[in-house]
Amino acid sequence: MWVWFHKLGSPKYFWGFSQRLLPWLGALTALSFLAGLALALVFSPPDYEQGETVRIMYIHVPAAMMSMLVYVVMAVAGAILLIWRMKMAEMVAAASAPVGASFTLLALITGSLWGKPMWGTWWAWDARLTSELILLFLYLGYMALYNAIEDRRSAGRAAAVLALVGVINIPIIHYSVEWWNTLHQGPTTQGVRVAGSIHPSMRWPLFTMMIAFNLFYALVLLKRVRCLILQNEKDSAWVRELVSEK
Amino acid sequence: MSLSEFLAMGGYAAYVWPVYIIAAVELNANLVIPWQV
Repeated sequence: MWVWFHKLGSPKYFWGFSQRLLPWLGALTALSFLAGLALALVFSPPDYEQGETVRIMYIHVPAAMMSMLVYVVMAVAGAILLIWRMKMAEMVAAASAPVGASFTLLALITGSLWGKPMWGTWWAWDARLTSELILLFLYLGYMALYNAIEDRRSAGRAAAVLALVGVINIPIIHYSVEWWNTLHQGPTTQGVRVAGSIHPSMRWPLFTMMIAFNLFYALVLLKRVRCLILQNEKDSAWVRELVSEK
Repeated sequence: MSLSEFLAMGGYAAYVWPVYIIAAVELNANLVIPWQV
């Protein structure tokens, strides 16, 4: 496992590995989205209180979960970069930032569209919503900082520090509904068990959509990292050979 | 359930469908943009 992890640190090995993985990952992502959408829109029942608006949950909750998970991935990659100076860790963090930002934006927009019919307002400065908005600013700040510094090595390190400092916001988002009196409801899911108070008829569609969102992130991450490898390793012999072959 | 009932989403179509449309647009943009870099 450790040897394999070390091998992944090589851009050339990662390129070959991701090449083989991408078609399978693409097919699995498409299948899980199709199953998730069918379950969410057709087979799951309306909620006894919220009616059909509960179907917003099948997009909102996975997007919110991914917004936090992607930031944790960025922070871990940032730590690996600072400790072991692994080039691939910098690329993983840089490739994750735009995807994480779009998940966060999606969580905020869908939350707003859910909030209006249920709470009577598009937005409230409550702890969960505000901390999620701060997460979006952290993503934007990471991307701005990474692209503002010309020297790639310094840019990667500065952005890694920001990712590590900002990760303190993740437990604040997660526990905000327990620590403060918020308009936002309590936790929908409890860790990976996807339990909470959800009936199985809604739990399985939600679980399927969560898997689909995770696979989607892995798919886009691989593709973005491959783009960064081509950019960063353009002077190496194997990339020149690869480009000349195509 | 008829198609019109399904599309009406119990009177909440104006909130439910935009969520799925925005999600589809955002996820597809994420998928397509790296391919074009």
